Amino acid sequence: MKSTDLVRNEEEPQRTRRTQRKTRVTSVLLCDPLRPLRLTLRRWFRGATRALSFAILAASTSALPGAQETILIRAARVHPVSSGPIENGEILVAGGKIAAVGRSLALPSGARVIEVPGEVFPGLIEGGAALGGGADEFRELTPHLRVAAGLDRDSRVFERALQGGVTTAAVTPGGRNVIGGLGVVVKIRPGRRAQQDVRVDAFLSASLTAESFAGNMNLRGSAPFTFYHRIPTTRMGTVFLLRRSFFEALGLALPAGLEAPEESTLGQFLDRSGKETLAETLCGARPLRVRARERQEIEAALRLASEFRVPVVIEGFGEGADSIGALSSSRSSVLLSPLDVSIEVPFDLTRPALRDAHRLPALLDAAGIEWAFASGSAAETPLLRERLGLSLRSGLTAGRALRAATLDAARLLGVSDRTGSIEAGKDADLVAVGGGGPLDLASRVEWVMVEGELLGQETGATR
Amino acid sequence: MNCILRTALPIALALVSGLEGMDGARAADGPIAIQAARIVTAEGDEIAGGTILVESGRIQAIGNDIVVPPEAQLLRFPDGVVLPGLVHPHTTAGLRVVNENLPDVPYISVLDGIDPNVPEFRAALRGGVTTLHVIPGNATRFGGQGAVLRPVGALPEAMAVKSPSALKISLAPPSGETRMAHMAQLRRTFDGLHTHLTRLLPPPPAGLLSSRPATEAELAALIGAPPDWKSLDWDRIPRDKIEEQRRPLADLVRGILPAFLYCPRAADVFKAFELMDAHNIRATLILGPDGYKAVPLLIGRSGLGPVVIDPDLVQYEENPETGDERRILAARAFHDAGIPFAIQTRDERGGGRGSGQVLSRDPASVLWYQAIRLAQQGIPRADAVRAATIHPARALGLDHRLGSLAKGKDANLVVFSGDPFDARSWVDLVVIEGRTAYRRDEDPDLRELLRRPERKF
Repeated sequence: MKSTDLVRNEEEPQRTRRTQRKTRVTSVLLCDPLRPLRLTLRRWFRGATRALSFAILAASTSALPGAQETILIRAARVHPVSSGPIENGEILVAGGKIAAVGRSLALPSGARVIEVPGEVFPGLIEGGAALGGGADEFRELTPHLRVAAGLDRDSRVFERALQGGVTTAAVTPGGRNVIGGLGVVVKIRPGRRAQQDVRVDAFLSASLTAESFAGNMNLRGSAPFTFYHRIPTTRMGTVFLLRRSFFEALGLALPAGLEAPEESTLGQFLDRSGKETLAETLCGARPLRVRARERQEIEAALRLASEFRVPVVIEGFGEGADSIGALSSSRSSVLLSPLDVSIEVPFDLTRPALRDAHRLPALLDAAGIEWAFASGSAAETPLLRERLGLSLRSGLTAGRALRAATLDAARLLGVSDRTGSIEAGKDADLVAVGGGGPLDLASRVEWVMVEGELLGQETGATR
Repeated sequence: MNCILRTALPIALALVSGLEGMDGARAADGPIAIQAARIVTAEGDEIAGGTILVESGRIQAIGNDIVVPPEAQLLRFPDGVVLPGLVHPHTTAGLRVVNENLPDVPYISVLDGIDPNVPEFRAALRGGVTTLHVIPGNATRFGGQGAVLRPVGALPEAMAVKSPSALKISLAPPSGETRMAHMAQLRRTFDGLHTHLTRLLPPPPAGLLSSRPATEAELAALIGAPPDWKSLDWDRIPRDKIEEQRRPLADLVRGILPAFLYCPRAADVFKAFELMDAHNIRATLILGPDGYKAVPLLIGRSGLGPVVIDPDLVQYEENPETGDERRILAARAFHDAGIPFAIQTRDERGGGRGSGQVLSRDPASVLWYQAIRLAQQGIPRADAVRAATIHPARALGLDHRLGSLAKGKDANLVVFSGDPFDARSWVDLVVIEGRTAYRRDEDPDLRELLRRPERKF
């Protein structure tokens, strides 16, 4: 109980986020007998992750076919997103990067010119979808499983997404586990070629949605020794498991009632690497994502956020209109589902909290909360642009929606140094559409460029 | 008795419910004049800044210099765009269970199963649909009779524009049956019908009876030959003597009742033609996901009306040898070949049992969204409009009344708040047969949803 009190200590408001985090970590570690080992492991782990990311980054920027070409793109309108739209804008692409953006740029010798009668905007960013990464149902808590380790990089899903204008995607594990594992942010390349990891282990995914317990069975009258015995079976159980694993990971003495019998399989909530990964995450190594769509799920997620003083990224948030205060005090952010934001003609009035879903962008902006879009499933990702177009029905402006699906998403995923806007020095991840604007449903994606590589769209009925 | 009830009851009910009027309709049937920024007529040219004058359920005048009579109710939509009311050619809206358990049920009618109070009809109005062709699903052989409905009215009979509209025939074999058996069963049903009908013919006068037994060759020709419907003397077959369960099939082969023929695969289109030719069937083809592969076959077929294409307008096709995937703009394939087609929506109810959702949240369940997706494939907007208006009307044999805006046609129209191809436009007004059926400013659910956001964004 003592340690819980330590965590619950009020902090001085003037401290920055980083200091706060350090204070909390230290206080947690004071009561941890394994502290030296823990610190070493953590240092090693962080170093390894960073080294790996750099290695992949270095490998990826090396020669790609076509990527070294110098290309000048002239478009009727360019949406850099980081700044206002440029009429008759030009983008100079060299070595797969954006060299310059503006008007009347000098045409370097040997440069290829691409004329676009319509508009050009940054490649869209999928904030989170289980693009082939399931959840390992052997356990309910698998924080240390890495999507990057098992991702089918040649999966068709990526090509379809690219055809829809999505050039970067956060790949999450499936939502069947309470803690599903570590997600990866990938860049999608044209032509069924291996996808490139931009950030491995970019975030840890947890799930409080009904998916995490749906179909689980309590085998009445039998000992829970079989593979088929899976907890939780209720929403309460889901929240319990998540909270308990937080305590476990932080090495806290479990409050009364949270201990589990030693010999039972139920006792093995987290193994050592699981605890390490979760502790890392709670200490700020990477964002913690929680899937929560219904009001009670969102409230549970935010309760955990404030209890453990860890900001969360809530994926879904459809019924979150009343939780914005709690969201902002825990410095959490949001990944909205475009389908919740839009008011489809057959909309859903059956859940009162969903009636405010279309106002979420405005409410989040007013509260100064970071948000982006996540479509959640492999079937939806290729349709991201169309779903965003439909979201405009509620009054969301095209400019705001575009920023949420590009620059804001890049920031939330920690890849804004590479992509998310058309700025000199960033990767040449671009999408060209016909005249009606980036999110116009009636115009189609003409071509997509990823790091200077071009994917043309079909001209007739087939590509 | 049964027969009398079947005919008289709907008429009586229609009369009764007709008196109280359509839901949400104005009490008075007086003339309405609608002025808008654009009028998309679907068949003729688009009219800029025109007026439509509606009286007694019909379009009385349409054009730029229409004199609006003083007694007419004038509705102005300075930014609005008028379209013919959208026509949904193939839906199961209002039916809770869409397929009968038995494979051959030509005698059932959707009018017996429709619940007028389901939210699908309200959603249809909200989406600008003024006509729905409700017909049983695709999982049976002879699935039953459909009805063309307007989405207003307290009783199915009051909603009906035309009933029966068509007979559903499906070429999809039920599970456990092969295509071969399915086709054989279809042919057998027609053979049985022919035997039944010929037995009802009065016997020829005694003197004309052949005195000699048939030769072997004559018998062989009789056995192998498909039934000859055209030479059947229909006038001499007493209609009330035809078994009630076979009567719709008799109407089908006689050419009175058309069919909606579902071809799950492109390869079934050929079989459909075979069936249509052999049994004198007028049919609208409902195509499946790979329907675009039947385009060459469809080009060569004369006298075929518009086809109803699969709701998944983009298809992915895998090359089984290389594993490469092609993205196919299916609707575009029909358009490029000049084949008139009607679009339908993905017919998914609710998002699963127990989800608490009444309606599908899939945008492809909305007709206007499907039309916009046609434009996305590079199909001219005028043609996209036709695929949701005049082409489905023609597929239903109602193009003389529905599907375009012209003098004398039913006053079925929808006013969008702006460009209908802009997702930000809303349906502001729906008029069905001269009466206001929907107004956005009187839609309580939308009012609730579209409360102004606290902050402009």
